[in-house]
Order: sequence, then C-alpha cells, then structure tokens
Amino acid sequence: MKALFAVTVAVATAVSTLPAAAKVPRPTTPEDIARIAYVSTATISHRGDRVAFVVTKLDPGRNRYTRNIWVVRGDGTGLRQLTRGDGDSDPQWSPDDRTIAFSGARGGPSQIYTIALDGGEARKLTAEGKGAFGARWSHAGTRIVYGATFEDPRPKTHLDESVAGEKLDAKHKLSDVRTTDRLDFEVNGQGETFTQHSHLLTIRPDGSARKQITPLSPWSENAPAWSYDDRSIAFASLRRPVDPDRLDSDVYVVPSNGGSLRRVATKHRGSSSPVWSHDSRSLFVTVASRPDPAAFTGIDAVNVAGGERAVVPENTVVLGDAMLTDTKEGGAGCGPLLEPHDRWFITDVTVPGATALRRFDAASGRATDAVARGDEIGDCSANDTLTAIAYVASDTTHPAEVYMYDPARNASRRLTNLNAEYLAGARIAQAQSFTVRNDEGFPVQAWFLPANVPRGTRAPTLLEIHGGPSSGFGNSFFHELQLLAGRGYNVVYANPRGSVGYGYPFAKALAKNWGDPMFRDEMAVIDAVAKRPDVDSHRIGVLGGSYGGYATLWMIGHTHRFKAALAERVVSNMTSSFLACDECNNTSSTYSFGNAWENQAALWRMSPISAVADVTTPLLLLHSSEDIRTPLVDSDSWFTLAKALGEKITYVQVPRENHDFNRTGEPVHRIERLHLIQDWFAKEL
Amino acid sequence: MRPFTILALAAAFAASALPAAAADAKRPVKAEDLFKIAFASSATVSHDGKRVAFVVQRAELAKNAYRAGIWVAESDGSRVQQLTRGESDGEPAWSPDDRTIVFTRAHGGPPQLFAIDLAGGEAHALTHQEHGASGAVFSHDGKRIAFTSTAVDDAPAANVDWKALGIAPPAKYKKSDIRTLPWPRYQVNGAGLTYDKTPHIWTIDADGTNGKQLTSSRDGESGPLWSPDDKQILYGLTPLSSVEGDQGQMFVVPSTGGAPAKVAVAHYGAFPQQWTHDGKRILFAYTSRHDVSALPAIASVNPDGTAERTHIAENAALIGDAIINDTKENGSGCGELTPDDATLVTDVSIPGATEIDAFSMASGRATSLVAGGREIMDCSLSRDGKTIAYTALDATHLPEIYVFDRTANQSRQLTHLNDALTDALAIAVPEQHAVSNGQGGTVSYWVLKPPNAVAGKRYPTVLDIHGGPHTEFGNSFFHEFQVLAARGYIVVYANPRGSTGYGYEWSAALDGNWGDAMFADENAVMDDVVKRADVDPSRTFVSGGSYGGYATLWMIAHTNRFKAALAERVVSNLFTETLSADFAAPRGFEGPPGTPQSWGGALQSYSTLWQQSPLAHVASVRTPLLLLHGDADTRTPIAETLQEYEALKILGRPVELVQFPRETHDLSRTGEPIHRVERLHIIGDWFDRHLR
Repeated sequence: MKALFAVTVAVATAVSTLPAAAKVPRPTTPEDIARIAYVSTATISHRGDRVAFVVTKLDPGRNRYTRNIWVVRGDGTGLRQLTRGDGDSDPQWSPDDRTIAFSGARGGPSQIYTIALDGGEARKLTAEGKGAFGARWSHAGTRIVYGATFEDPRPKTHLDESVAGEKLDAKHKLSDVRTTDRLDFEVNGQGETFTQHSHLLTIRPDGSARKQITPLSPWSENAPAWSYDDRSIAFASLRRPVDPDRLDSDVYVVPSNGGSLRRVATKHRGSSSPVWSHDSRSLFVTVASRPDPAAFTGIDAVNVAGGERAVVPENTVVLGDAMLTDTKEGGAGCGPLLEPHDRWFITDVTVPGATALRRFDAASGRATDAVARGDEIGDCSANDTLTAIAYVASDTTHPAEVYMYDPARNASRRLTNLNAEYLAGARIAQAQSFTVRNDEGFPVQAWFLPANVPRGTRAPTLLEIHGGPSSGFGNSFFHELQLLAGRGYNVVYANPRGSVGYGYPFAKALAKNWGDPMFRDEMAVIDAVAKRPDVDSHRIGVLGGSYGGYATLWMIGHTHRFKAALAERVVSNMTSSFLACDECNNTSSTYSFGNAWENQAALWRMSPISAVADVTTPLLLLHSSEDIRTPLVDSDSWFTLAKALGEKITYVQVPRENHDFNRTGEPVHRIERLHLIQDWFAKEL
Repeated sequence: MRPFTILALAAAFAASALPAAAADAKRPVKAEDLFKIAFASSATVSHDGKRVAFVVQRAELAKNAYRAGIWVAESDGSRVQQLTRGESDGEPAWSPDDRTIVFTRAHGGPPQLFAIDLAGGEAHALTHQEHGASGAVFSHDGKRIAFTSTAVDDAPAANVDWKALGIAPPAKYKKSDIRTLPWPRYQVNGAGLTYDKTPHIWTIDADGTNGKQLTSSRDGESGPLWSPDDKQILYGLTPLSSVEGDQGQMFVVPSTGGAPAKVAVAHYGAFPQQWTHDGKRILFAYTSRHDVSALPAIASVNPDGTAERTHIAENAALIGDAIINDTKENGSGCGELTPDDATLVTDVSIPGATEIDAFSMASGRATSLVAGGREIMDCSLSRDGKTIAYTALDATHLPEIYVFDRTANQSRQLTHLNDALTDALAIAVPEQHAVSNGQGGTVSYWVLKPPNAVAGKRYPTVLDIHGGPHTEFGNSFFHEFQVLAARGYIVVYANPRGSTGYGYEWSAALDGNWGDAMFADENAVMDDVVKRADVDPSRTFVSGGSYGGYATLWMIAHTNRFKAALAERVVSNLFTETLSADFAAPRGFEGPPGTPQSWGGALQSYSTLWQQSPLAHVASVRTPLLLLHGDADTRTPIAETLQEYEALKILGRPVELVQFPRETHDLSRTGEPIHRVERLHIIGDWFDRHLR
C-alpha cells in the first residue's frame, strides 16, 4: 500500500449528518457522563443473526461502573440485557450460538462464566485464584481456552526467630519486600506486574477437565487463538530469557492438549495478534521491525512450518482505531477478519480524522474500503462466512452504538439506540472540519466546535491538544469538548504533526523534536481560528493531557498568546519522564531522542521546563497520584519552579487515580474533574 | 544549634578504649538483635536534679511494631524504674515541683498529652485534641502547660451536582478528596501530606481544663517557650512565603491570648532558643543566607527587637548531635542557659563525636564539660545548673542514660539496659585512621574488622558512605556495620568533605560540586585501606543511602574498583531531586545565590546540576548494583531510583531493584522492624553473592 499522506490529508471529513433529536435541549453538563451508555465489543454470532455487546454505565451514587452484556438481533429487534453481574465483558458465542462465554468480575477477581441464550442465569466455570479472562471457544465447541493470572509465591520473611527470641505473626511469615531485575516491572493502572504471569488453560463448557496447557514461567501468554482443526493454539508472548528487557512479543504455537511451545519465526523484531488461516497451516500476525514509537505495524502471513510473506507492509497504514475520546470503552479490537477461503480479510484502519473498515487482499495486500463513513469505528467482528460484520461506531454528535454491515449490499444499519433519550435532552454541538497549511506547507486537519452562545457573539476559545502523540482527534463523540462548547467556549482541536492517520512521515515528524513541529501546526490553527468573527481572539485558552499536557506546557513557554492553560498528567522534563515511567525502554528513549546521558542538551531543549521562566499564562496543573506513565515528578518540578518564579499556578492532585483518570477514573472524581476544568476557564478566561 | 571556633580538621580522637571482651565466648551480632536492643533516649533531668526521666523503646516482632515507655532513674544510681506502659509514650516533661511528668502517648489515634504522678498511680489524659497534641512545656509556676496541636483544613464539598444526577449526595462522597496544593513543600517524608495541616500553640491548665488556642496564623507555629514571669510565650514560625522553608521568624504572644508581636531581627532566618532567666532577653539562632551548610550563630535580643548581640559567630561551631547511626532514637535536643545566664550548656558536634560544652555568653569561648569522644544524643540541665542528664553511646556500647555532676566534674552511668545483650555479643571494635586526600585535606576514617579476624587472612571490605551530606560518622554504635563485620567483612567508613564536625569549610566544600570532592576523599581512603594486610583489594564493595546513595552511584560511575555496589534511597538527578523532594529547593541545595558557593537556581544552573548528577555518567557504570527504595519515601522520590535503574537496564548493565512497601526515607532507622531485619539480610546477601 502507498502511504496515505499525499492523497488524503487535505480531505475534509464529513461530519455525521444525523440530527440530534430536538426537544428543549440543554447544554452538556459534567454529570452527563453518568447519562451516557457506553457501548462496546460488538460480537456477532456465528450465524450472523445476533450481536452481543457490552454496555458500561457510571454509577456515581456508589462511585463505580456497571458493565453488562446485552444482545440484539441482526434486524435491530430483540434488544435485551443478558447479564446483570455489573462487571461483565468479552462476550464469546459458542459455535452453536446457544451459549455466550464471558469474563465476569463479580465481587472477586474476574472468572469465566457461560450463559444460555434461551434462559437462565450465568454459571461460573472457573475459580482461578488471581482471576481468569479471555475465553475462546474451540471450533468444535467442546473446549474453551482462557488465560489465568498466576502470581509468583512471595518469599518467606528473611528473619531468624531463634535469634529474635520471638515468633513471627502469621501475617508476617511471607515477605512483602519486592525484588526485580525486569525493565518492565510495573504498568500504569496495574501496579507491580513482574510477579504476575498469565498462562493458558482449557476447560470443558460444563466446567470440567480444567487443564493448564502452557507451563508456569516468568512469561505471559496472550491472545490465544484455536486453529480450525482445534489441534493447536497460537498465542503471543514475550519470552526471551537471553534478552529479558526487549519488550516485543513473538507468536508461539502450542498443542491444544498442552505440550512444548514452538516459536513461529519471523524476520521481525516482534510479532503479535495471531489469526489462523482456515487450513490451520499459517497465521496472519501483526509485525514490528524497529523500536520506533511512531511506527505503523504491518501484517505478515507466516507458515507455521516456516516461511513468511508481507501482506500489509509496515509504515503504510495505521491498523486499528487510534482515535482519542473520553467516551469509548476499551473495545475488542478489530480483525483481521479472515474470509473462509483466506482470500481477503477485513480490519479497521485509522484514516484522517476517522476510522474505517478496510478490506485487504490476502495475496497482494491491495486495499479497498468496506465501511468508511468518516466516523469512528471502535471494534468489529464477523460471522463465520463473513457475510455480516458487526461493529460499534460513534461520531461527534452520537456516542457509540452497535451497527451491522452487509458486505454483499455494502450497507450498514444501526442496531441500537441506547443513547436516544440522552441525546434528545442534550444540546450537542456540530463540529466544522477545516484544514490549514503550516509554515512548512503541511496541511493540518482541525475542527471547530462552536460555542453555545447567541449568534454574532465573539466567544472565548479553547485549543485542546491530544495525547499520544501517536493518536488523533476525529469525528467521534467527545464529552469534554461538548461540555466546554456548552459552557460558551468555541473548542478547537487539531491533528498536528505527530498525529496518526496522515501517513508515516507526518506521524514521525516529532522524532528528535517533540515540541516544535506540534507548536507550529497548532499556532497555524490558532492563527486561522482567531480570524473568525465568532472568536474572541483575546480570550484563547489551551489545554491537554499526557503528550497534550507536554504540548500545553510547551505552548505557554513559547507564546504569550493564551490567557489561561490547563495541563494534565504532563511531561515537563524529557529526562525524568522517559526514565521514570512504566513504559520506559529503549523504544521511548534511545530510538526517539537519544539517551539522556548522551544527548542531554537536546533533551533539555525539548523539555518544556527549560522555558518555564518565560511563562506568563495562568496554569492549572492536574495530576493523578498513582500515575506511573507520566510520573508525578514532572508536575512537581514544574510547580516548584513556577511558584519560585512567582507565576500564577494552581496544582491539583487526585488520589487513587492513574494516567487513565479521565477515561476510567472513579465516577465522582471524573465529574469533579470536569467541574474543575470548566471552573478554571470560567475564572481565568 | 550554636558555636565554637577553630576546629582541628585533622584532630585524631581516640575511639572508645573499652575493649570488647574475649570474642570466643560470644556470639556474632545478628540482624535480629534489633529485637533485643533497648533504645534509650530523651534524658530529662528533674528540676531538683535528683531524678532523670527518659524513654526506652523496643522493637516487637509479633506486632512488627515499636513500643516505647517512660522510665525514671534516681540520679544517684540507686533505682531505675519503668513508669509508663503505653504503646508509644515519649517527650517526658517534669512539672516545676517535680511531682508530675507530662508526656505524649499515642494509642490508636493521634498522640495526646498525659500526666502521671510520681507518687504513684496510672497516667491520665490531659488533652483530647482531634488531631493530637505534643511538645508539652510547663509554665514556671506550674499552673499551665503550653503545647502544639495541629489543625486540619476542612475538605471542600465534592464538586458534583447531585441534583442533576437525581440522587442524594452519598455520605461517603459528599466531601472531595481532590487536593489543591498551595505550595511546593506540600508533604513531609514520614508525615504524608501536610499542606492542609497547620500546627498551632495552645495552653491548658495543669489539670487539663481551660484549653485555649493561642496562635492561628496560616504559616503555623511551633516551639512555645514561657517567659520567666509566665506572661508571654515565645515561638517560631516559618512563613509559607519562604521558598526554601528556612527563613524562620520569632514572635511573642501574651500567654493568656492576644495579638502576637514579631521579634524583629534582620537576619535571613531566626529561630528562638529560650528566654534568659532574668526575662529580659531572648536567645536565638540565626543564619544570614540560604545555605544548608551554614552553622547558625547564637545571639540574644530584647523582646522588642533592640540591642541584639551575637554570642557565637555564624559558621563557628555546630551545635547539636550530627552523628549518624542506626541505633538512636530522636533525642530531646540539648542546650540551656545556666541560672546566671552567663553560660550556655549544649552539645556540639566535633570530629567523629559529640560533647557537651559550656559556652561563655561573654566571650563565646567553649569549655568542654562532658567529653570522651563518643556520641551524646541529648542533654538537660537541673534548675541550679549543676546536674546534666544525657544519653550517650559509642561504637561498642548501646545508648544508656548518664548524669554529669558539674561540681564533682564527674559522670555516672544510670542505666545498664543493654549490658546483658552486649556482654553476649562479639562486638567489633573500630580502628581510627586518617589519610591525606592529596588536595590539602586530611580525611578521618574508621576500619571495623570482623571480631574474630584471623591474622594473615584478607577480608572482603565494604566502604560505607554516609548520608546528609551534612552529617558525620563517629564513635557510635552502628548495628548494620556490626552485622557486616560479623558476616566476615571489614567495614570502612569515613568523613569526606561535606561531613560536619570538621568546620564550615569542610562541610561547604560540596557547594556546586556534590560529587568530585567526596570522590577524591573516599578514593584516598580506599587507596589507604587496600594497602592493609587484612584487606582483600580484589573484593571491595561500596554502599550508602540518601546522599550516600548519590555518592555510591557517583563512585561506580567514576571507578571500577568495586566488585559490587548497594545504593539506597538515591539521588540520581539533581535537577529533579531539588524540585520534587518534600523539601523542594528551587534555589539549589547549598550556598546562597550569587555567591561562588552557589549552585544557583535549578534553571540557571541546569548544566551544573546535570554534570553533578550520577545519571549523566551512568554509561560508565560497570559495577553490579542493587538499588533499595521505600515506597513512601518523598525525601528522595522514587523517580530518582527509577531514572538510574531504567538507564542501567537500557544499557544492559547488571542492576536489581528492591522496593519496601510503606517505608519512608527512614527505613533503616524507623522502618517496620521486620523490614529493617530483612534489609540487613538483603545487604549482606548481596555482597556475599559477589564475593567470587
């Protein structure tokens, strides 16, 4: 495939034309996040006549989420809530479509459950001490493979009771001191992970014959997939004892009855996400060759017995949905969905400001659009014959709902409308897409969400910068942006260099230079917006989180144009942020920017904190106390200097939250955060 | 803090001459001996000088906790008695008539003031402050007690429109737990978040009635001192506007309540010490600039801020006990004027030891009162100024309580709480040495050999570098070193430049240069040590915590002479450490801005800070390294350890990381007892692994 860059960057994405229902609508409020039904994981039945999916809701009264499995028929009728465990996810149809297996966290660690479609409550199949997840049916329907978490036993407390002259209490017999030599020993939101490993087990659908098929080891096995003959299970695993610090997995195959693991050799640095061909001889795998954070993965077809060929070359297309919003739940991913004769497959790809389902020829890699509506497609699944594809999609004015695509008719229909009531009462702003050319002639796509103010009013305007930076804004429902528009701000958001969907060179433009290309692109967007008659060019604010927090700090250190700024979970110092984080590795540091000990002058120049003394914009810094993706040290450092310099700054820390606060945080905290944001700009703009 | 003049840098002082008894009948020191040690502290003499109250703390294995009680000894040595039996009792204060002791007791909740009658009976609570009470000080007439109690800001209501959600606000979520942090020093290692907690001064009647809050500034106040006529209370505060938190101020407030008046002195930071007995003057310490190496001056002033006079010059002497070890509890401090206001009796840090000196208020000159080349942790003075109680220990003796009779010029040991333990142990005795650093200075160091060392055998050797850097090793009991010696290691420890006790210049030598001067000195020590017949030069190790952790990382980035290294609670990046530590110091660690000693501000001096950071030199590290860190350490935040660890992992160098849950920067001194024992085993096991 050719790079998309030249042909599609300037294409303005059409915004959905579905009208929001009219009925004394009121502007979006922070509390609306508790009114939205978050729909995800559209999983179609084998025959293609029904779709199971997950609905997540916020329960602010109990400060928790509820997550349950729903089912709808392919014609949009028969919508019903199937499970009521409030912690249920990952529905999987049995081959006869009579049963759904799922993961349920019902008052303990997640376990595998099954529920019959023709009535009755779910039954628990597993009782794994540290939890079970990811059930996948064998094609015969006689077994289910799943992953279970095993924790290394804690060592005994190293203490000689005979010398101490006293006995250890039972609760102190095992040591809680943690020793590691792993690079990747912790993960944001999960804490210490180096003692936890997931292994594969099979079980019969009646709950009998539990059998562990991959051995206990310091490694984990992920994404198990049955071969069509049910003899083998492929999975991805990082297990290289000689080089434990490389963070790239390989694909392995194990006999489905257990036995020795066989690595499926590829010429790439890493491979993952195996999908079997229907003859059970080869696998389509996602591959990566370089430790390049901007890289796009490719797809190879690999013969299990040896030999491989590239189907989708690396750095040609962005596989998956890279769009950033605050209203999507982690979906099931999307494809590759392989046609029964292995001639082509469908997978989702990120395109300018949107996601599309694209059909790839399995031999030539030639691609054609399947579903390309200019909106966001979260995840997808296909029936056995690939004559029906279910997916969830959302756009700027609609939270995600379930859709069904008929490849024969090349048409989609919406199956659910769970947010109809919410939308009927809410005034949702329509985004206007526009493109500007930056100072190097690059076209930059941006959107303008008009403020909820009377016509002819010049409204204050907020520039929101996305995180990643390898992600993108697009035609997707973004509650926070709607909230700000509803409060009377024009909201501008763009995909500056570093964003995905505009080709590899565009995404890679931030390598060795994290701030400046973004800055120039965002400034070009602001220059264009400031000319609009509905924009008060003297009252422009800027905000963003993660890389967007870095970008916000960078902006206010390099221009005095903004009247107020809000930066969340920031990177302020390229040295500490890239060496004290959970994902620190040579991908994030060595490859991109050079190591701190070799390239300090450049890293310092790229660090927003080197310009903190130039800031005159009032700033609100927001950081979660358990964030180990962008560690607290970067906000602390900025705050200390800004205070010492007498700058106007407010620093807010949120307990018990991690880097994903605005997406998965405690509901009460999420509502408070939104009030905090709107109150800050109300005060400072 | 207070002064002293010329400190002999190279002065060698004798290590305790008391020999450990014949080693063969004794067993080696173990990590688990932590549970056998009686940690005595806070020697507090009664006003009549006849008795001494003190605190004894022990570690308890089953509860994995400490238990501390108040004890009383007769000054003539006739009796030692345990007075209180709470879980955590401390801070004994005698009533003026010596009939009552008021102390702090914590059980379950925050500490409260309790009183116990020396004539008999159990203690009873005097305060029931919501957030606790501490630091009791009796008025001179004995009728009232001043103390400190913390106010905690109300949490704001959760910013949620519950009505819009159609639900009543749930009780649990009515108040917000989101924190808006008003200033960089928003937390204190070991105390957690402190930005919403403000200490204030209160008084109560001696019977616990009539509680009254005297002060209420946003800055918080501490250290109440009654004027001799009991009409006023002197206290200190550090304004929140003090960027580095070291610009103390002094105030007096009527003891029955009223408006505080500032004792206006023109110094960078001023810290009240006490009233003169005639009530006319206020004794205080001051510093003239932001300089963490500074040795504060001692001065006096009229309460209205006039007629100030310096008695002991700035940077002349280090008042207080700066010796570092792992067997002392925080003492009660030291330093009181004699009844005629002519002499200040206080402890002073000298090379490798502390002693109690008498400073002439007229000349500032010091006379040694209680010496002996060991560590003295705290002291107190009887009303007539003739009896001094103190806590002391040395390299082979654990802390015990002593009294010094100024008339007889003689000390008496009152307690023998640890005799049974130390008699059973083969305790290693340090040798003291000194070596030229080749740069015009002489470095003191000690060599602790295995107690049963065999002549002609060469031993693996561990160099331990102390933290601070403004502390010092000395003639004090160091359990960790004894455990290593018992495991067959020679332990070497030195006072390189940066250490206290050797004069201001020696201490300030690290200004703008944290690594090089220390490195030259420690290397000179090692060069000297490896010439010894009992040292195996091919098996040497280096270790240290905090600044010593920084120093360990610096050493292994600049020499490959060590077989393995162990660094605890490290500083790897001076920029992030100065800005994100609980004591965030944006103007740099050491000298005043604009002076040659200065690091400058963190921004202006970025390249200096970076070049002085071990991380800048991490690619040179070849020595296997073990990093230790406590999860709740905010003095050297986890980012410091992680930056070094991840860099070494990316470089493919041998490094391991050990993390202790719930532990702060003070793991090795006040951590959970089981963790402390496990830590000692981890240290020994790490070196053992690299013996071959």
